[in-house]
Amino acid sequence: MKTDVIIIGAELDGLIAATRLVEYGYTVRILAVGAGSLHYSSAGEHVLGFDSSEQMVKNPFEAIESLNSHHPYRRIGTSNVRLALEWFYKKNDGSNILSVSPAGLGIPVYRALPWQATFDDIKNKNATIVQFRNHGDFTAHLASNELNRAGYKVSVLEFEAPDVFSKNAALAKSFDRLEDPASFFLGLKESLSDETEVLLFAAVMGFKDHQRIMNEAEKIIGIPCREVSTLPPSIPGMRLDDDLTSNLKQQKVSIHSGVKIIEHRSNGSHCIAVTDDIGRSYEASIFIVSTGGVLMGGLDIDSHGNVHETSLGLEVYQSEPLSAVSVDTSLHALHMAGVETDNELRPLKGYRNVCVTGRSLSHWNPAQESSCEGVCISTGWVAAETAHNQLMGMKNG
Amino acid sequence: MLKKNTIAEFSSPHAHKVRDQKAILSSMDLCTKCGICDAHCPVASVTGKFPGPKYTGPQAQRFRAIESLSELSPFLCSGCGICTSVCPNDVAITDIITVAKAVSFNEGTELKVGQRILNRPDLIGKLSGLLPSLSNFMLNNGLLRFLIEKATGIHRDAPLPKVHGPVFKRWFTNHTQPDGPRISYFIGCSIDNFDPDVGKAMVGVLNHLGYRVDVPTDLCCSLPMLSSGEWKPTRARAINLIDALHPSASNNTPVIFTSTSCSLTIRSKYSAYLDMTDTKSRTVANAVVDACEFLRERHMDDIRENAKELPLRVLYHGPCQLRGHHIGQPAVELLQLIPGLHLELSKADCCGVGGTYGYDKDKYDIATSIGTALIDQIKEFNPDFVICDSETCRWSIEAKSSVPSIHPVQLLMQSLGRQ
Ligand code: SF4
Ligand code: SF4
Repeated sequence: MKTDVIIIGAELDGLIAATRLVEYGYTVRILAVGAGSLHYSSAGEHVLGFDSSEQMVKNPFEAIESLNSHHPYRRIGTSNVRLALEWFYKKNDGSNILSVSPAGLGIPVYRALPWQATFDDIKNKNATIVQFRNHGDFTAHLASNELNRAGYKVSVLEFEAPDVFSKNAALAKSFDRLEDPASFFLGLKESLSDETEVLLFAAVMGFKDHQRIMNEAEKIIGIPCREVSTLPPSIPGMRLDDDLTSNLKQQKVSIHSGVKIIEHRSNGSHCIAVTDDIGRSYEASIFIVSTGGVLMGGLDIDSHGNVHETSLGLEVYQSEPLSAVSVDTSLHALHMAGVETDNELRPLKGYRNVCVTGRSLSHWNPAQESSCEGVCISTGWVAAETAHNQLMGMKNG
Repeated sequence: MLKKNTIAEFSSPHAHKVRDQKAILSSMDLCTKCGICDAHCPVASVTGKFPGPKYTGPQAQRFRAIESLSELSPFLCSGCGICTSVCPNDVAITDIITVAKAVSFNEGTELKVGQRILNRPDLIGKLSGLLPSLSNFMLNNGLLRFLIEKATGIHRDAPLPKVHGPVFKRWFTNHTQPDGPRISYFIGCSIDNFDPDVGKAMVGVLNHLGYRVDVPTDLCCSLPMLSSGEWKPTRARAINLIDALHPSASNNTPVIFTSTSCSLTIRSKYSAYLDMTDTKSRTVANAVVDACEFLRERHMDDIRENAKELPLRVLYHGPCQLRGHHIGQPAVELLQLIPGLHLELSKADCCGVGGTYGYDKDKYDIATSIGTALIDQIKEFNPDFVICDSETCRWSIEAKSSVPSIHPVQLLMQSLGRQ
């Protein structure tokens, strides 16, 4: 049962580390309580949207230097961030673009997802947003009002969805099953005003068959079609989660869900095995903690306002005890709390064969910086490199 | 031959999380309304009639706690357990819904005759096993099935299994075994009557590894009754079964299961639904181990050394109940050890049948549309076999794809047994 690497948690960072380790040919086991926070991520690929003075960032790589010196990006170094993002996004020009949020606001992202609506798409164009009837997870008027206020020309078209679903996922999957998408889009085209130059949908246009559906839409309607993200659980995040996990499964990576790690065995300097809440043990040479921080239960707060790491009991950095009275500062302190590591993401105090990634790391605030995917991808990638180096070292004695 | 791991070393690390009914219901407070369960529920993805696990589970439970709701939505849940397995906050969603089913059952919601019959697979097996050829004729006869649908609500195309009669027991009685460490194998009500080949393969693999196999009982675990809410008559049946398995389990030997649903029932559903948390029940629950899980934990090296080439194309589909065991997909790790095997994995979450859910004439269409993705993948890949750990899934897959569907140990036995 022993594998080269065990990843605790199914967060984006863990899935990235697993993907990279499988490329190297290692055996990997993922142990997770449930689905990861990719399900919440709404608008795609945030690397660094705002600097510490809350100014919008044009070039994320240049802005890294302005972050606090313990920040995960500073730890692993700009060149590693570049390498990781180039590996994942196949893009290296270092520039942000503005995507359209569910409320019609601009959110800086590093790369637009396929068919993701950006402000460049609607600039000086007549745009129409489709509101599917009954779709409760998306309000086209919210976006159109805001965009109109900002000087864009956007109108709303109400239209019957292929099936009566109010929730994102069911709606998205009903597009996958649509027997004749061409006639559906033809019907939509007939209801559109001739002036429309770009068509915006909620991001529910297919789940696994997203590409096919959007290609079909553009082919039949004959104008650019784009997607605006919705309230969570968000389909673009779920698509990415599904892509990564399906790919890992096809590579025969074992993913155990429902597994909560609460104990471990060590020889003092190294972790040997982890044990779940029903007493099963799992051995590996390297362990990666990708447990999603406070949001996903990787970090826990006790009644005194102190933060704890839940899987291996690693020491946690925290600037001040959290209190419900001073919510503002506490919320920031909560984000900044986490496990502090060396440049290779090994905990400063703790086992040598453990790496910590993503939201369980200290000294970054994904909400304020708008940096979630970037930090998760690059720390996942660096953890895989650290694991690779260590495993090579073990092999060579 | 292969006795590196003797049974005495088996330390039973399988103590399943004990959650009684109270713990299950109070897990509703852990819900953060994130909606991830809804996004993954196969039923909510194909029909607008079902409000989804978030509502039918934790949300409606708050109201159930103060007043009795007359509601049908719990009965649309197939009990697949996918929602529970994706919930980041450990809410026992499927169990909450099943408790709600039982409560409305006790308050008088009538179960259809067909569901009552399907709830007793041991009885079906015994009755039809008396005259297998007549039973099979009836099951294959279109007109009769139409009449059965009218009378019972069991859909005329529902994938009812082929009846074999007591084939396995007859075979087992005359079967010579190695004189190795003893191990118990649970055949339930299904192996003898419906699935003798799985039983023979399991005994074969265990013999091959040097074990001497005991078959302590052929009682039924009563899962269909439990999951459709028919609880009162279940308790006595469950206690009988625990009594029958206790001597083997108290020996500190594992009891091996080839049915992922029977094992899950004894491991965690007796405590969850019937509050059977006494020492005896826990001893048995802790001895329960899935066949592939056991082989993965104990015999990876033995199998790696002895597996012979099988130049076959197979597609593996992990059944939903496997998620409830929290063991990943051990069969995939085992099948990878077979040289020459072209193994593709299912991309679908669920085959749709949900035990006996897809047999009901009112739910047959829901089940079929859930299963479409899997059947399409099978047709495209066109394997020699579909491999799946659960019997009801295999019957349904075979009926809908026309590709023979077998348990992982059957393929392992083919590989180990080759000369
Ligand atoms: S996944 Fe869990 S926490 Fe989220 S809505 Fe469903 S039950 Fe609640
Ligand atoms: S058990 Fe399956 S069918 Fe029932 S609510 Fe959960 S996911 Fe849906």
